[in-house]
This record gives sequence, structure tokens and C-alpha cells, in this order.
Amino acid sequence: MKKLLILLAIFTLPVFVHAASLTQLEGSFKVGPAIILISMLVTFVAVGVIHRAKDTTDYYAAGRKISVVSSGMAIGSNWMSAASFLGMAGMMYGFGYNGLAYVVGWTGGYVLLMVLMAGQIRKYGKFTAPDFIGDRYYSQGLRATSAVFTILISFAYCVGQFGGVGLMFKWILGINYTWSVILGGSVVVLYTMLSGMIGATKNMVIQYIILIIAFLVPTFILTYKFDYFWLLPQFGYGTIVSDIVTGIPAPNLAGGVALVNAYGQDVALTPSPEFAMPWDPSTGTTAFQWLAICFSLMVGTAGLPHVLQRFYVTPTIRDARLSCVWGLFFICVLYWSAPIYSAFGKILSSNPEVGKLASDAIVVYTAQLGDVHPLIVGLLASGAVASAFSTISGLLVAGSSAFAHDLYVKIIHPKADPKQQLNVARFGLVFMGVIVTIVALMNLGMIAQLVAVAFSMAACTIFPLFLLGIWWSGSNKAGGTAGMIVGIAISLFSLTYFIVDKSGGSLPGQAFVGYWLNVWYFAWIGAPLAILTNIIVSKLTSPTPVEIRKFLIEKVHN
Amino acid sequence: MRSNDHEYHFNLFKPTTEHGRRNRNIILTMLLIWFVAVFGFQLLLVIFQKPTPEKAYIVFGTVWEDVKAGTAGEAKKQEFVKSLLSVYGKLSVKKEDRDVLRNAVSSVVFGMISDSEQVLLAGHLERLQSARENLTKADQEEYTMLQATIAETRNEINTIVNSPAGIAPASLESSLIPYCLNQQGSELTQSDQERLPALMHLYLVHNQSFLTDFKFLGFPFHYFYTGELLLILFVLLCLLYFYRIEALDKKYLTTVH
Repeated sequence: MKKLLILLAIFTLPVFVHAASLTQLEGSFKVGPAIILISMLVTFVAVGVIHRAKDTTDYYAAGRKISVVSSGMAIGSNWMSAASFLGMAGMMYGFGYNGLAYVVGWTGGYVLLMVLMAGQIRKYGKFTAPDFIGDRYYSQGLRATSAVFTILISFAYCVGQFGGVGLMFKWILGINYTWSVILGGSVVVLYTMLSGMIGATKNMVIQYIILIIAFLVPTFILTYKFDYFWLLPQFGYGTIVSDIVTGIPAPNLAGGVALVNAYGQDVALTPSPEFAMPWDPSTGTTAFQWLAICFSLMVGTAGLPHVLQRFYVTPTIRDARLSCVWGLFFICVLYWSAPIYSAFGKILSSNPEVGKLASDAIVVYTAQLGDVHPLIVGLLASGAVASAFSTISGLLVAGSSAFAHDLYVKIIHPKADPKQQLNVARFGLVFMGVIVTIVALMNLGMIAQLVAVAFSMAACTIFPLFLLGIWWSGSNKAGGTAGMIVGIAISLFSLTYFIVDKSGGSLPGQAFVGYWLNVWYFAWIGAPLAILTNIIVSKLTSPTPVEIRKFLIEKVHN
Repeated sequence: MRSNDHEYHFNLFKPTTEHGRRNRNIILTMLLIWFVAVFGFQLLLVIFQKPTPEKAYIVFGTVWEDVKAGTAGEAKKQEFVKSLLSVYGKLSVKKEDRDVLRNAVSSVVFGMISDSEQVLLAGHLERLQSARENLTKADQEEYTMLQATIAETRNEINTIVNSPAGIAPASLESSLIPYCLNQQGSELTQSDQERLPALMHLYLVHNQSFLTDFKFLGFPFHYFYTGELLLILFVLLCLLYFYRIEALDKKYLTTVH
């Protein structure tokens, strides 16, 4: 018993938390959370060493031997980044109902993947998204372009993840941001470089388990503590949403006891229907934006290379489909729960002394304001690291595979032997990791925000090529190229306006483009245009070679 | 799927085999359900929505002209202050809008108390502001002292303003009003007078309908539908597709899995 108490004391030693720090990430060393984090890092590296990639099939496609549930967990954790884990609740906290467009968009895209792509991608039997595009459209130009896009998307996405890792390492270990990013980045680059897709996938399974436990435990604690239905918080928080809409009087009592936040302030709120009502004017959003964001995220999700690549790792087509179902379910478990943090964040920060919470790590602030035990908050922060690591490793493998397999082997040096390929892939991964680390350390807000463009860009460029490439044999090289050009042109147009706006400048029609072709959702028009262009140009030019049509019918659609 | 041995053509919409037809029907049915479930419901929200004011907005509308003209009695001023506080308590209010609200509440509240109380109140507000500013840079010991100062000062402010403003002790308004006062209760500027009605409309009128007012499992129905039910539907659609396509492939295809 005494030993247990000593152990508990050690774990809770760092829990001296400066009262003012509950709504910011204070950088002092925290023993308990640090032990959790370090154990986690050692495990990830060990798994990476044990599951070292022995050949290119291991490196690109995990040897095509990942079981269904494991693959589902890997799909889930690969998808759920630090942004999903830490920032999703912030969307709903800040933008109310409009935040749900992200929840629906980021999950609904998996229906498209399941129905239109998962099985067919696996049947096609390639290693990467550019590999499919290059072969299906018999075009080295499209292969190279999509490979470059894959690298760019992976790069932009990775920078934001490294920022999240830096934030959490800094908070747990008490080291500065620079060393936090370098340390976190080194660990994930090390194990992914050694193991490629196979070790990354094995780690993703572990990471999913960690992140989902870390995310769910505080939701049970918060609902129990504040007297809501805690047995299933994903449904229990409905009453909190209604309470926010109608307002919570002070003092708010449970069993005759006043409910207070960690500062001892009453949990009380003026009526706030803007939290739940659709496209509330005070959030500055409209119904069109809701629909456009939702559509763009769905189509973009089904076009992201690191997501598509996950369907190559299963042994059979059946497994690819079933792993998509599992993957979506595992993602939904977290997405069902994220609004709980936004709702609690709203009521726990209602006191004027607390004020509006910053959106960078709202789940952590909410748990702290709810007076959840610091060790659990530490677990939550470690879960955020796990979520960032799983996404980073998937992105690094996708980016390095595009470089090694699609640029180096298929274009630059076709005679490279498997060992050379593996070395090039590893070199590419380390190189990408170093560049991402440097950019993350420069703390360029602009780069981190560019991740917004990734979804719409993928929706306008890669999604149409996969959709038509799989379901219409008439889509040919000229059509694919024309569609790609339209997709790129719309992407660059929107991106230019976005960069100019963020730099404080203005171009003609800035407000118009900022609203109708915003970087988050220009795919609402860009993706249909790219598809239409592909169809029209394909109809007007020479047909797809018979061997590709034959392959499509006999191998993909059987 | 093929027109002859030399011409291989595949088009989802023009299947040439029974498997192709059934496959197309399953895919299109799934996509139709998916599309209608996601976008159809949001369109229903748009169609049925009505700008619905909060009670505070209606109260504001009944007293604002009198307050602006300087002819409002004590009761109307009290209603005015409470309606403004219910906006001030919202976390979504922008800083510049908070300033307008603070000016408006201060101009009315300072007008409702005596000169000596005005001096006292200004002193307390200054102390509160100073303590709050120092809070962020305080160490643990100073922090505790500052928190005590803030609590004490808030009580002093409440003692002066609650009664004339018609605010009940220990109420939500009571905890808000110390933060919604300026140190001087100057008259509302012309610009603030023009902005206030639009500001109140912005924060107190919402898009509501029977779909948002109806409660399901404690949720406003539309919130439950979008945040919970749609996700369940997505998983079920994927599962259903999996079993349907499995059965279809087993029946018609020879070389699968």
C-alpha cells in the first residue's frame, strides 16, 4: 500500500499546476505524463525496429498482410491527426454548428472511398496513388505530376503535425519548442525510416488504441462530474448542448452542490443558441459555406494519397473493403466524442475571468478547467502525440514512396534494383523529415494554414482521375491531363488569393473569390469542372489503349 | 461489359452484364442515400429556418427608443441593462462589440447611481482592471492574493450597482456586470447608438425551425442528426454496401478475393 502511495505521489508530483495556466500550455516538466510519453516513444521505436521493412512490398504496402481490424485501426489513426484530436473541438467551440461540417465532411468521404474506390484500388494492385494514375492514364507526365502533388500535400500536412507534436512535447517535458519539434520529429522519422509502411502500420494500431483511450476517458469523467449521462457521453452531452442553448443559471447545482470549474467559478452561461443553431450570423458563416466545406472535405478525403494508399496493405479485396468499414467506425468513435469537449469547453470557460479559449489545444484546456486529474490530462496530451505520429508516419511513407517509386524508379532510374529502391525511399523519407522539421521550426503560420488547401486540391486533381479511371474506360490520357490542368489552375487561383489575403494585400475581386472559391472549399466547383473537362476531352480524343481497357474489365471489374 | 472480344469498354452507367447492372444499382442507391441524407437535410434546415429572436432581443426592442431618447424610467433601464448583459455573457462576442456593450451599460448604470457612488464605483473598477492585468504575470502566491482582491472588488461593485440595475444577488447577471462597466459612465456616442441595434440583432437572432426546436435524446434534433445520426448512417451504409457487394460478387464473379 505504501509503495502504491509513493508511486502515486511520484506520478502526481508534477501536478502542481499554476492556477493561471489552465487555459494555456505551461512548459514545466511533468513526471507522470513524461513517463507515459517516453514509454510510448520507446514502444514506437521498438515496434519499428522489430518490423523493419525487408523489401519494397514491405516498405510501400506493408507486405500486403495486414489483417482487417488492424488495417481499420491503422486507417483510423492515419486519418486522425493532431488537428482532429486537438483542434476539431475548437471548430465547434468557435463556429458552432459550422464545426459539424468538418465532422461530417471528414467522415462522409469514407462512404465515397468505400463505394467507389476501396475494392477497386486493391484490385488494381499498385503501390501508390501516382502509380495507379501513371499506369491507368499511360502517362509519365501525370505520374510525375501526381507524385509531386503527393509530396506537396504530404509536406504541407506534415508541417502542421510537427507543430502539434512540438506543442505537446513542450508542455509535457518542459523543453523549448525547438527541441520539442526536433525530438518528436526524430523519433517518428527514425521508426518510419526503418520500417516503412509495415512498421508504421503496426505502430498505427498501437497509436489508435492509445489515442482513443486518452480521448474517451476524460469525457466519462467530465460527464460524471457535472452530472450528465456519463455511461455513454457521446449521447449524454446532448443535454449540455440544450443547456447551452437555453442558458445555465447560477448557481448550477447537482445534488445540492454548486458546480464549479477548476478555478472554483460557477458553471453558468447566458442563453447561447449560436452554439448549436445552423449557420448562425454571429459566427460569420452561411449555409452555402457549410455545404461547400462538407462537400469539398468529403471529395478531398477520397482523393488524399496517404488515405488511398492504405487500401494497398490488405491481403485481399474483401479485406480492403471491410477494413474501410472498420476504419470509418474507429474514426467515428473519436468524431462522435469531439463535440463533448467543445460543449464542456463552452460552459467551463463561461466565466468572464476565463474568457474565450484558444483553439490550439481546446481538449486539454477543457480537461484542465474540468479539474480532471493531471495524469489523465497528461494521457490526453500523449494521445495527441500518438495521433500526430500516426498521421506523420503515413504521410512520410506516402511522400517518400511517391519520390522513390514514382519519380526515381518509374521515371529517373527504371533499372534500380529493390535494394536501391529501398535506400532511395529511406533517404527520401529522412530528407522530407528534415525539411518538414526546419519549416516547422520557422513557425510560418502561412505554411501550416496551407493544409487547408490540401483537401480541395486533392479533390480537384487526384479524385477525378481515380473516379473516372476506375469507372469509365473511356477516360484517356488527354482527358486526364486536361482535367488535371483545370484542377491545378483552380487550385493555384484560389491559393494565390489566399496567400495575398494572408499577406495583407488585395487582388481584384478579393472578397468574391474569398467567399466563393475559398481554399477550404473551392472543390465544390473545381472537382465537378475537372471531371467534366476529363469527360469532354476524352470524348474528343483517341480512345484508351485496348490493353488498359482489357485490364480494367478483367482485373478491376472482373 | 464488353461489346466484343476486341473492343473492351466499361462504363458504370452502361453495364452490359447482370452483375454490372446490379453493381450499378447498389452503388447509385448508396450514393443517393448518402447525398440526400447529408445535403437534403441541410437544405430542409435552410427552407424551414426563420429568424428567431431571443427574449432579450424582444425586451431590447421595447425599451431601446426610450433609452436612446433619455426618456426611459428606472424599470426600462433595468430591462435594457439585462438585455445587454445577456449578449455580453456570450463567448462569441467580438472585442469591438464588447466595447460598445460596455459603453452602453456603463452610460445607463452610472446614470442610475449617486455622484458619490459613481466615484466609489470608478475606484473599484480601476482596482478590478489592475488586478486582472497583473494576474497573467503573477506567481502562485501573488495569484492567490489577486484572486482574493478580484472577488472582493466584484462584491463591492455588486453592492453598488445590483440594486439600481435590478440584478438579483448571486445571479448570472451579477457575475457579469462588474466586467461590463467602464470606469467612466460617459454618454453613448452617436456611433455606438447606431451600432447597438445591429449588434443586438447579430447576436440575439438565430436561424431556428421545428427541426432545431424539437429535442431528441436531449439534443436539439438537427444537432443530433448531423453530429450523431449521420455518422451512424455512414458506418451502416458502408457495412450494407460491403454485404451487398459480397453477395453479388459471390453470385456472379468467378475470380474474386
